[in-house]
Order: sequence, then C-alpha cells, then structure tokens
Amino acid sequence: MKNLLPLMRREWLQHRFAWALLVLVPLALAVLPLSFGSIEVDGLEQARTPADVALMVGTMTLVITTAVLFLLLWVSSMFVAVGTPRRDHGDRSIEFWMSLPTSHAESLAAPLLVHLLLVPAAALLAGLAAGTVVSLVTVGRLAGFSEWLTLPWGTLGLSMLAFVARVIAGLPLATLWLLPLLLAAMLANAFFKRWGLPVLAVGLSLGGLVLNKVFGQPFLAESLASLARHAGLSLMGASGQGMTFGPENPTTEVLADLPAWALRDLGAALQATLSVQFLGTLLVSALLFYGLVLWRQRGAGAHG
Amino acid sequence: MSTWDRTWDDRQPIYQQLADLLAAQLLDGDPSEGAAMPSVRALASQYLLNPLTVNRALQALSDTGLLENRRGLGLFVTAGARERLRAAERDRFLQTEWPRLRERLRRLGIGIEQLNWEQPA
Amino acid sequence: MSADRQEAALVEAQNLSISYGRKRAVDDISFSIPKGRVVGLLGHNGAGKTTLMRALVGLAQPQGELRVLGLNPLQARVALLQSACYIPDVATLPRWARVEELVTLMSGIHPRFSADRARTLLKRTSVGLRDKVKSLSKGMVVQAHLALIASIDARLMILDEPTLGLDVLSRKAFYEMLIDEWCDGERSVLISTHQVEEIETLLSDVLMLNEGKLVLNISLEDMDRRFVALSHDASVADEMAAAHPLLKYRVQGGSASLFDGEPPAHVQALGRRVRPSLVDLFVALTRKPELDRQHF
Repeated sequence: MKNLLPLMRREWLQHRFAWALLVLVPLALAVLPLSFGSIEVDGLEQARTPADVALMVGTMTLVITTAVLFLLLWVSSMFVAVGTPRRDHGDRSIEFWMSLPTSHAESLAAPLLVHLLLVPAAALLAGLAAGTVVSLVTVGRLAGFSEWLTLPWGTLGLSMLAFVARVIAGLPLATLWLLPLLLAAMLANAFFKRWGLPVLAVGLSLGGLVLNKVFGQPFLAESLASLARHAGLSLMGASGQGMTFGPENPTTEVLADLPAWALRDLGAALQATLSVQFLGTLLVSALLFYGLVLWRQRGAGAHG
Repeated sequence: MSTWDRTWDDRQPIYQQLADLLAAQLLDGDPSEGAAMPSVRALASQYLLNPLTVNRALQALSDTGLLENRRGLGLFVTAGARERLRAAERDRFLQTEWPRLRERLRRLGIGIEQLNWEQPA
Repeated sequence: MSADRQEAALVEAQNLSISYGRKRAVDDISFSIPKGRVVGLLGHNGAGKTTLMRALVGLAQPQGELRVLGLNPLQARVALLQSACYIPDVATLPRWARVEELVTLMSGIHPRFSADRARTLLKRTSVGLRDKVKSLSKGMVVQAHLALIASIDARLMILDEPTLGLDVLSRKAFYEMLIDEWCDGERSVLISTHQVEEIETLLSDVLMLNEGKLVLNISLEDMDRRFVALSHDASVADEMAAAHPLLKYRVQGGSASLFDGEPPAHVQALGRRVRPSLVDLFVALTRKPELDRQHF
C-alpha cells in the first residue's frame, strides 16, 4: 500500500482550489452581513453582563461556524467520493491512471481516505479558524471588541478543541457505519454511470417497500435508518447526555466540562461498535469493496 | 517511398542506401579523416532509422575499410579513406559511366575540341 | 526473429487467445520479443492490436501462455508496470493537471521514474512545466506523455497508435525523441500503427495481425531476404500472374508483383528485383474481409 500517499496527493492537487472556495466563500458570505447588518440572538435575555453576552455569542458562533463548514465539506466530499469510479472517464485519463504501477485497491482506497476522513477533519479545524473570525465580528458588534479580547480563551479554546477532537475521533466510526451505503453508491455509479444514484435509490426504496409490505420484513428500511443513526451518534451524542446551556448552567462551567464529556461520549460511540450489527456492516463493506476492485480489474468499463 | 523529407528508393536495401549516402559525405570530407563518425543514435535520430539499420550501414563501410573501430571510442574515419573512395568512384565512372557518356558524345558528333575542359573563371 | 538469444526474451507468447464475449479478438498467436528491438504491430482497426497490448500490461484476460519480463501480466500487474510502460491508444493525460504536477505525481508513484529526466525531455518539446494539460494541443499532449513515459527506466515500452491524429511535425518529433532517448540496444519498443509507410524505417521487426491471427512475424532483415518484389512491364503481367504472386500492384512507371519466396528463375528474368516494401506486404497479407468476399 505504499502508493497510498502519492495517490492521496493527487486528491490534494486536483481539489485544493475547490476546498479553499468551499471554506472561504461561506466565510465571506457570513462575515459580510454580520459586519453591516443587524444581529439578533435568542436567549440573550439570560445574559446579565456584556461578558456573558460575549461568551454566549462567542461560543455559539464558534460552534455554528465549525458545524456549518464541517457539514458542507463532509456532504460534498461524500458526493465526490461516490463519484470516483467514473471520474476519470470524462477526459479518458482512466487509461493513464491504469498504466501506472498502482494496485486497484490502492487506487480505490486513496480517494476514500481523503474525502471521507481527511477533508472533513480538516474542515473542522478550518471551521474553528473561520469561527474565530465570525466570533470576532459578532461579539465585536454586540458586546464590543474589548469583550472579545477578554473572552476566556483558555477554557473556550480547550473546550472547542475537545469538541472538534470528539468529532474527528468519531469520523472513522461514522464512516464505517455509512460505508456500505457509500460503496453501494460507488458500485452503482461504476455500472450505471450517472444513473447510478437514482438506480440505487429506487432499488433500495422498492426493495425496502417490497420486503416490508409483502414479506413483513422491515429489515432493509430499518437497517438503513439504523446505520444513519449510528453514524450521527458516532460524531456526537452517543452517550445520550447532551450539553445544555441555561440559567442553571453557567456557560463557563459547561465549557469546562466539555473535554470530560467528549471523552465519555467517544467511549459510548466506541462501545456501539462492539456489536454484531457493526461486524455485519464491515463484512458487507469488504464485499462491496472487493466488487469495486473486480470492476476495475476488468477494465473499469473503459473499453468496450 | 518517401517519408518526412527523405526518399529511400526501392532498388537497394535501406542500409545500403544509407551507406552510400554516408560514403558520399565522406568523399566531401564530412567527417574528415581521423575524425569520429557520429554515433549510431545520432544518425538514427537524424535519418529516422532503426539503430540496427544504421549499424548495418556502418558495418558495410567498415568492411570496405573506410571506417575503423577503436575500442571503447567508436568508429573513426580511416586515414586514406577519402582517397580510396575517390579512387573507387573514379573506377566506377571510368568503367561504367564513361563508356556510356563517350558513346553518347559520339552519336551526337561532339569531338574532343568542343569539350570545354577548363572551367570558366 | 533472430534465434541466438542467450537471455530470455522480454515478451514470450504461446498460443495466446483473447476473447470478448463470443468474439475472438486475438486467435492463437505465438511470438517473442527480444531486447533492443523496435517491433511494429500492424493491422487494420479491429485486428486485435489494442487487445493484445492491453493483455501485455494486465488489462485483459488471455488464454494461453503470456510472460512479459518474466511475469504474468494479470497476476503481477503492479510489479510489471514498474519495468514496462504503456501509452494507451486513447491516451490522455488528466486535463485538470499541470505538467509539473504530473511529474510530481509520477515521482511519488513510480519507483523508476526520474523527475530530472522528465524535465530535461520536456524542455525538448514545446510543452512548459506550468502548462495545464487542458490548454495543450493534442500533439503536445502526446509529446508530454511520451516525455513522461520515456523518463521511466523501463525495459519495455508499449505504444498503442501513439501518433494517431497528430500532424506531420509532431509525429516526426515523436519518433525523433523515441530513437534518441529510448533505443539503446537494451530496451525494446512495441508500437502499433496503421501508418505503415512512415514507420517502416524505424522498425527492426514486424508482427502483422489480420482479424486476430498472426499473419507475419519476421525481422525486417529477413523480410528483405524472404520476399521478392519484381517490377516489370505490363506486357509480362500474365506470366507474372501465373507464378502466383501474393500481390500485384502498380508502381511508378509500370507494374510490380510480390512473391513469398523466390519465384522461378525465368519469371525473375522478366522483371527487375526491387526492395519489398512493408506497405505492400501489409496490403497483401491483411486484405480486408469485404475485399475477400468480392472474389467469390
């Protein structure tokens, strides 16, 4: 698997411009109205001092910006990942890639690693950086620039890092839960080209419907829902304990608790993988991946 | 058959035609006696020929003593090659071309006095 | 091909067949390619050239025996591609990349690729390192591709119609670079084309395919000896035809007949012996099926 890194480097070279745009454009779109428009924030009545305002708003902007950028890049990367089997067919460069001494498994795995793991993780970190900018603008306008400077950056910084670390640690788990669906989509894309996703969607819906109504087996629909749920929980909330902000929970205390909470949450997420269901997911993924390798071995549909 | 800007005719094998071409250049002193011949690769690239063909041509020239192989250094034009080529050309002319030309002159009734041997200045 | 080979040939094929569904693209062929050769793989479209080449690099499933550089292409594809390089027939470099990015990528992926050599070779062409592939003309893309491939220290180069659609100057530059940078006597090239005329002088050997079958497998040197072409007047055409030539054709100033082997002495006396051209052999041995049907 030694060609994995150079192949991953290809993703960087091909997509770095798009990634930059996906981070900078939303940031600009957020900062501009915030700089000049009016800002209303719910729940500020609970804040007693400008410092409280600053902390609440600062935390919210950090979390929201990070979450938005993360979701934006994660979802778009999933589409890119699903499209990788056919992506070099447009310019016929697939034959060039297949003339290089890389194994089919490597060529298929490298983009998955980049788009499903590295990019969302990087998006979280970029989100933190962007969030700092957004918080500067928002807190500056609502409570004053000095309040922004005097935010408890130690606690805030640490808790935000814990928050992000929790999601990053949960990413591989979430990816593994979703992998059968993603690989199925890739196979559909490989065989049916741009009709792949519609075919898969129709197939799964019909299949689930038939199994449910005709055979009384809601197995398919429930499985898919379960996978999605597990994936979400792997990222956040597996422990079932949320974080609440409210008058009884001063924001500073909640924030200080965050690292410990994150660790517990991660533990719960890991525990959820110790199940037959997860094992089944891994097996199905392995089979589907092997199917993709075979498809590529037979010529990746490049020649008639 | 013509490819690129060179025409190889169909009378002789190509290596022979190349050998004749190189011999003609040797006659003009290119390269001069004692100098190295261009490498096989350079000639192959110049005339767009397979290096094996070039090798055969150079071998033919070596066989007639026009080129010599200096170990480790390559092929060099032997001393006296030019003179030998001129002598060979001279013989060929006198034995084949001249009789034909002489016959033609006779038929046309051109005498030796009408031949302008001295080149105009 | 020459019989004195101390070392194993770079390519050995025995009773090789390749099928697509029910169609036999390559039908029971056997050949070998020694080192230091430029082998032309000639044939009409659909004759099986591309299929054969893909099998050599592990992209098709053959029956029979095939060993390339001593390896089985299907099973040892990655190892094989480290010492053999391939330009496919609809070769294109990725349009989104810059040429220097491709150099970087190949440096990381290919153990025998030399980035320095690539940059040197690219300087010979009109392609700039900072150019994006999508801004290059087709001829420049092929030149860039060849420069990249020639920077791999491989023992076998497989080129599938590399000059298709290129203008004359680009084709000439391509062949010049090929001879200059690749042919050192140790490496071999297998190049397929149907532009037989212009490639004839570059070849040392020829493999001719007709509808999947190998109709000619010979070195150019032996070809000169085995086939006899006689140029003659139209007046002796009938006697010529009686000796069963492979092909009758017109040349400048008259007719010619091509024979496999020496025709009888009295027939030879009727004409002047000329060099058999690969183009004529190609026409003679690979008649298109539609033409054959007309004879019945």
